[in-house]
Amino acid sequence: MTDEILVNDSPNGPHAIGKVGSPSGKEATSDQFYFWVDRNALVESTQIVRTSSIIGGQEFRFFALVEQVYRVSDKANIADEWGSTDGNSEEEATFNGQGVTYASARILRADPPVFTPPLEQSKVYMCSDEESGLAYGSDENEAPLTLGKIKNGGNVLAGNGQIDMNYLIGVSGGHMNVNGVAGRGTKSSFLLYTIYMMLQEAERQAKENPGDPTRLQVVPIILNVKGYDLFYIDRWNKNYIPEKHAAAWAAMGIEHPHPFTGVRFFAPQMPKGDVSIPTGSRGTVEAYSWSLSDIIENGLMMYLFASEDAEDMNFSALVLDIESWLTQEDVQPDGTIKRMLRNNPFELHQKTSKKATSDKNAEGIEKDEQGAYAQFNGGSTSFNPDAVPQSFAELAGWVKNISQEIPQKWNSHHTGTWRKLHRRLIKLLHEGKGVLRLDDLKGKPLNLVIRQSSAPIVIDLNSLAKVPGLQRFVVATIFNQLLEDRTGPNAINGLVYLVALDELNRFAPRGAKDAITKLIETVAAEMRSMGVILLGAQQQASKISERVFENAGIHVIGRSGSLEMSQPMWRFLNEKTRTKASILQAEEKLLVQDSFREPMHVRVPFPVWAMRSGEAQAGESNDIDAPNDTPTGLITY
Amino acid sequence: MSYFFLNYGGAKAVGGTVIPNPTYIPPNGHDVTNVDLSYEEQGEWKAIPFLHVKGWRQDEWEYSPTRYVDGKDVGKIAARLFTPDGWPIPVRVSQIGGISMRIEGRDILSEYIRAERVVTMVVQPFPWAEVEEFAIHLQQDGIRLLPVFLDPATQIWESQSVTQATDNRSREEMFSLEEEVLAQAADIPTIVDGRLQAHSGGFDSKTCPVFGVIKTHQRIPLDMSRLKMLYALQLGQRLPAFIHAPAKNLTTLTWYLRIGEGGGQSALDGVVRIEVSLDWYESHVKGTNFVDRLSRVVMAYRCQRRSYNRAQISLEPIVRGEDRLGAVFGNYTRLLNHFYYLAHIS
Repeated sequence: MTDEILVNDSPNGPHAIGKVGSPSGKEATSDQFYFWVDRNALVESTQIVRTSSIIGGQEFRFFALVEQVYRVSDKANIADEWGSTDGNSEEEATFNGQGVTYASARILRADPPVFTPPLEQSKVYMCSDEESGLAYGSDENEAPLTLGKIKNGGNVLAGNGQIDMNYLIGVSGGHMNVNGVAGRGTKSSFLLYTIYMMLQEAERQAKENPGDPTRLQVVPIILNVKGYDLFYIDRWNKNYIPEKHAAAWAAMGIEHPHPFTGVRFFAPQMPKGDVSIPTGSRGTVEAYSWSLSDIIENGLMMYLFASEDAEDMNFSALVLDIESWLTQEDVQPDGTIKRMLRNNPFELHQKTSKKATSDKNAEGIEKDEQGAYAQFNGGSTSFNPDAVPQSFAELAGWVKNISQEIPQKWNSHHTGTWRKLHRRLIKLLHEGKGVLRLDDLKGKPLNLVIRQSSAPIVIDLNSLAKVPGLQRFVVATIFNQLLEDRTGPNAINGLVYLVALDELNRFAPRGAKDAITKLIETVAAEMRSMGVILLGAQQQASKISERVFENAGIHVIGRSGSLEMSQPMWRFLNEKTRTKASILQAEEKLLVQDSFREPMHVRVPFPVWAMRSGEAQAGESNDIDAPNDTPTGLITY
Repeated sequence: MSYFFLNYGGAKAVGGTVIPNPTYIPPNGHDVTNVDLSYEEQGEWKAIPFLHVKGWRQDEWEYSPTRYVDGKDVGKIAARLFTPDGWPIPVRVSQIGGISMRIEGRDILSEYIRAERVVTMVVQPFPWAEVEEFAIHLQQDGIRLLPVFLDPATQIWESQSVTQATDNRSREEMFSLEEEVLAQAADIPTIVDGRLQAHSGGFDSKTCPVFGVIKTHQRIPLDMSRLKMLYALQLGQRLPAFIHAPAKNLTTLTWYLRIGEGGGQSALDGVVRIEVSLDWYESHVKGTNFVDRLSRVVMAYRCQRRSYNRAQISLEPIVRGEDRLGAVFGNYTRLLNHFYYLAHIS
């Protein structure tokens, strides 16, 4: 931003800004120290300072974060202050006060490492750009990723705020979790920003080492959970003003920031059409859906049902039994097992997705051809319990008939369980008749298996908001697919799936034991090493699965409510940091990485891409404000 | 390693920190003081208001004081040892210093500081070689031995008088440091804390505009009627100036004024006395309203801190100087413990 000041321009220059003091009551420790401030210096909280002391014959450097700045006058009490002008506020005191400004600083790093405090009278200096990075161990980052500029006071920025990607993509840790209140650009925009920076890094590595099989490759999968906000990320943000905002990008080495390009958008298929539901997006939006055969092929049957049902032993046993009966498994030449829907041995079903009639039965399910209808929905005389359903409509009819008169083959399951399954199926198919294809033999399942870096893939979940079960099903399907790809024989070294999911509290709520929560927990706990990285976000981390939260290698805190910050899971932050989190500006974040002794306070650039339709600039995305020269920061695939 | 204290039965003296008698000034032999009360007012005295006087500020008056000199002596009789004859000899351990504060606009800045850690004791009863060895031992740790020499004819080391002499020697050394500080810029109008005589080594009484402000009053050379007038002084009033002329010491022009509202334990609470070298006064400012203007300056610069128990008679630059010296001195207990360590006293 134009009003930012780089620390090198600080009027404080290279001069000492104060000295360490450690009188009784303000003792220095190996964690923190106090320093008084030179009468001509300006010190602010959030600044990064350094001092050095010779201890035991060896010089140690201490880098520290100014936590708070204090001012104490030379008066013993308020009455003395009053007395300096005899209680007259209009009068100037004969002499200026002899107050002292001092600050508390929390040690970020000692170099060489040592657990001892700096000595009193040690001079304190403002950190330079490079030193600010060193304070957070930038020299030890094996895979640095810049995520902002380090805040160094109210309006001053220091060096690059870097995390170590090894904590994000699986070597030393994995996953990112972002917490913040709604409506301040805290969460989704930061997730996108992280993706943008990782794509930049992947592109850089591709240019520098195109033949390196282990180079970083990134496949971002962005789940849209609010409106169709993320369907505009390939459009310029009309609030982005280059004169005002470009400098912040340039300071991070991106001279020509540009909205995402090549983005693929997916939305649920129309119930009675081949295209997606309307999203308002001008570009192409691909439809996604699943037929019964898609469900069987991908082993997704159990994910169709809510957690309460999945936890019901009788119910889950029945579903698994049916799934097993419907599934045919073939061993492939490469040793993998291919699942598919068993053919119906009675061959009455027409192998077509075209519906012959729009008639509906009593349950509102459209009829297929008369033969199929009779086989699965007819009365007891025509119903054939051994006929294998080939569509959801057939499956619903089949379950209904079985529940009315259970054949011996299926009588290990109670009638009540069959009826429960029937009710659940009817509800599910009614609510999700676009995403779950009632009569179609083939749907348009999401195929996210990509073998190289790609532009982001945005998948809409918002239109399923009224059907939480279906929303969870889609998420589960995505993760399941990624897991299978990353664990299969074709897994690509260095390829990382970044799955951005806001509102984690809906998909992995605290205390839940449903299949979706468990799947996300499995991803968080076990899949980082396989390159499936969850970029999760929520307003209140206290409402999400502890396992998901705890397994995040990088925590990002945007402005968060004070009540939320008082929850037990934030106790790993000290009180001042928790307070700071409640007053952060929209563009400010606290980055927490295991190797940081204190959260890194960074400012991120203003997004160039639109975050909702209202922000999208009119016109085509690629011809607005696009630079004439080839932009180094432009992501193309 | 010195075993001086061990050899002479050194032991701790318990008790709190003692500030030497603040009214003490270095002796200059037997003296006779003449007082001329009619110098300014030949007739009947009356209180003179001075708040109305103009032209006393720094930018209006060349003699408006911009420097303020103060000293500090923090210490106590920390140990005793015994002469070969069995007389107890008190040993005072103290931190002493002098400081000058400079007024720049509305800021008060420290200018010169001299501070020392000293051990003061009568040394005559002990072998000089051993005393010297002990002094060197202390010096190596930044502590100076201040020897006290009493009348050589003294054979009886009476404890009370020896203790008094020891305390006074420490204070004399503090005055020396103040004089050293004062001498750095004695040509600039300066107020010293206390009697001018005690600082006379730091300035030329004929040429230097150095003025003393005395806060405590021991011998008030006024007759009964003038004494009652002194008690009755109102805020912003002074008594006429008079001459105070010790035969062997500095002759001064002096006057009393009230700068605090009073109402405390003493009727003289809020009253101070100012001293000016008579020679300097007569050669530089006689015939002007100098006395009123200097009174006005002292009134203006009085300490406004209600929590400070001597605020009514203290000047803000002096109080800040004391604060600063206190900060420079550091922790007295630590000095004391270090001394005990050096002296092998447990």
